[in-house]
Amino acid sequence: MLHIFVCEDDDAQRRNVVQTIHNTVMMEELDMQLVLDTADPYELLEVVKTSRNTGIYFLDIDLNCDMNGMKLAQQIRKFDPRCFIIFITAHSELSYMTFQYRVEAMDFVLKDNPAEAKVKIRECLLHAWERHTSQTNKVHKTYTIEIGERKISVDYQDILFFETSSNIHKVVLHAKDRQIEFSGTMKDLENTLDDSFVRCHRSFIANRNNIKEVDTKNRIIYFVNGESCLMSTRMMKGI
Amino acid sequence: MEPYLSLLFSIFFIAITIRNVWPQKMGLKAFAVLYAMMFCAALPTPLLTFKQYGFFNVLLAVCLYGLITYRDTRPKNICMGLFGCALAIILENVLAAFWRSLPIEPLQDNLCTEVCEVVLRVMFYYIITLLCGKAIRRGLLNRKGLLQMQQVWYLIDAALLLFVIVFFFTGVGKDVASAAGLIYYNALPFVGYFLVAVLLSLSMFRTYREKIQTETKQREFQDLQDYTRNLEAMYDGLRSFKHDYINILTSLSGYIENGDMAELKDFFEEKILPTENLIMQGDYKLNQLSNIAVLEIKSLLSAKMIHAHEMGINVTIDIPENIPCFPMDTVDLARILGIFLDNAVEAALEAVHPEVGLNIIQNSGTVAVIISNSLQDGDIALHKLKQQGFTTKAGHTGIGLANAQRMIRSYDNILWETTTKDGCFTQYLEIAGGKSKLAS
Repeated sequence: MLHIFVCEDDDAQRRNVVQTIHNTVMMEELDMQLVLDTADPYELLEVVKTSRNTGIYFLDIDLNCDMNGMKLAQQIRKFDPRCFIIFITAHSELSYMTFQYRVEAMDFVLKDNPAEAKVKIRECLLHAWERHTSQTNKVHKTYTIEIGERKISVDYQDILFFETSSNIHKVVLHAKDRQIEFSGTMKDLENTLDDSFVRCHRSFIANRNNIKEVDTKNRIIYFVNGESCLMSTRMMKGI
Repeated sequence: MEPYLSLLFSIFFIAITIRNVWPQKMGLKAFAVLYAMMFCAALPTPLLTFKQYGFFNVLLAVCLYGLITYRDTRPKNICMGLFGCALAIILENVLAAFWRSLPIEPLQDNLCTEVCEVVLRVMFYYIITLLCGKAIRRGLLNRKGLLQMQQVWYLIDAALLLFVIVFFFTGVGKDVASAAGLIYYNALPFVGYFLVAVLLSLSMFRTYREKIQTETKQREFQDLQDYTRNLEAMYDGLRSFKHDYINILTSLSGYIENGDMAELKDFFEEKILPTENLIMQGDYKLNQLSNIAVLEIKSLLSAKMIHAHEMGINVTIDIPENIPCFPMDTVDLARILGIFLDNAVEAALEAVHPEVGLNIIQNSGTVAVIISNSLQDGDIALHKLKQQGFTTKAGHTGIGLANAQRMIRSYDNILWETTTKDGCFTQYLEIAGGKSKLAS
């Protein structure tokens, strides 16, 4: 069961959003429930504090209040870390990227065009439902990199290998569709990672589950996306 | 022992003169160092056949001292050091003559009167040099115009030093007997010439650096001008829209007064809804760049973004908060961002819907810079990208990203993430507060 919350200061627009949500939940027969629609962010926060279910939050960015949508979302994240946050706004100058970065906003509904907004709200609900069910079915192990207050999590299953960099304080993470270069040492990595990872070379830690093929003659490991790393004879046994 | 004592004394006089004509206030410690250096340089003097070469040693020591200490007035130091030496010699001779000419009978030769006389002489000497120093500083050092430039001072130094060398070493070695002495007398002018060469190259170096600085400033200014012109164009657009808006309102009120709902609906859908596109069009939020306080970065970003916009790319800029500074070297950051943005623009141009996004976010303790662009055909092989020599562009060397990588790696406080997902390529830099660049 997912709880739905709406926070929007314009009454007419809030009615529209609520109406769309009701229709979608009914038509798609989703296991969701609209718990609260309000213009007051503090009222919403009070409810969130006591709620135990995961929520879907539709928040306006400009709330005509000392707390704006961004700050509200940050508060909500504290109480409901796995929630889905969707911003409804006319502020097209505030781009999606910042919101995604700050509060991992799931999506962004522009209310400039009412017809499109309806479609978008429906999509968001379906998408949230999909993510919610896949999240509860299996729990991924993740590797988390911290810089300042920001945390970046990468699923173990996406990681191909770690590589040392020319700067001894830095390590490069090679994943399927991303590369991250961050401060860290191979030694720390070896200690934190689980046993699906193996130190195959002085400068590489490989993920066993993503190895496609091992060329023992030339001592090269090929990964599922075509990338490759070296392995040493001494550490070959581990694979 | 006797010659060294008198040496100690005369060096002290020269050092005091130099201190008084020095371009900056010289502390007691610095004075002690200067004195020690000069004395060390003068140590071999009593052993030499030609006493003036001992003096040349002292001159070289003063030049070196001027080069090493008080960095911001380096060329003036040397000049004033040489000046001070000359002044000391002249003054000593003049004063000696002056004492002798005084119509006072020499007092009884006891220690007390001798000490008194010495103290009196030193004080007199000190006051005169102090006044000279003040006059020189006012007359020469604080001048505006050509004398403000350091390279001019270096040239003056070189000329002075050259003059001194020629003066001292014309016809040297005629009367020197020992081989070691000959070598010594020959080596000295070479050291002097070397110093002259150092001064000349320093002068050239400064000129060159200033030229580069001017060029950079010029480019920055040009970029900022473009930025202003674009802002003005945007403002003009806004004004004309305001004008249209009033017209629209008037016609709307006309329909409403008539109570003609059907026509009002038609008018709304045909005329007013499309204005939404009008508002969105061309509005690529350049004004948000004003949130960046670092001028170099702002001008670079505006230039690149304006260029991208002119190429027909849909540009999004989002900098919601004020960015007071970037905790890394500005030149490095400018180079990295330049490489990223050039790549982004070129890659986006090949895409069906060319888009480039720039996002800078200030967090507590970190600054995040996100540059994204659309790609032509799906995802590219990330692991090949950073290799030197790899390129997707014809006629390019593929050196840019490899360079950026090298620069980013030299910082411990930067996290760099490269992502390609759903036809969108993203470069993401998170720069943490502490400034820590590796020495390597």
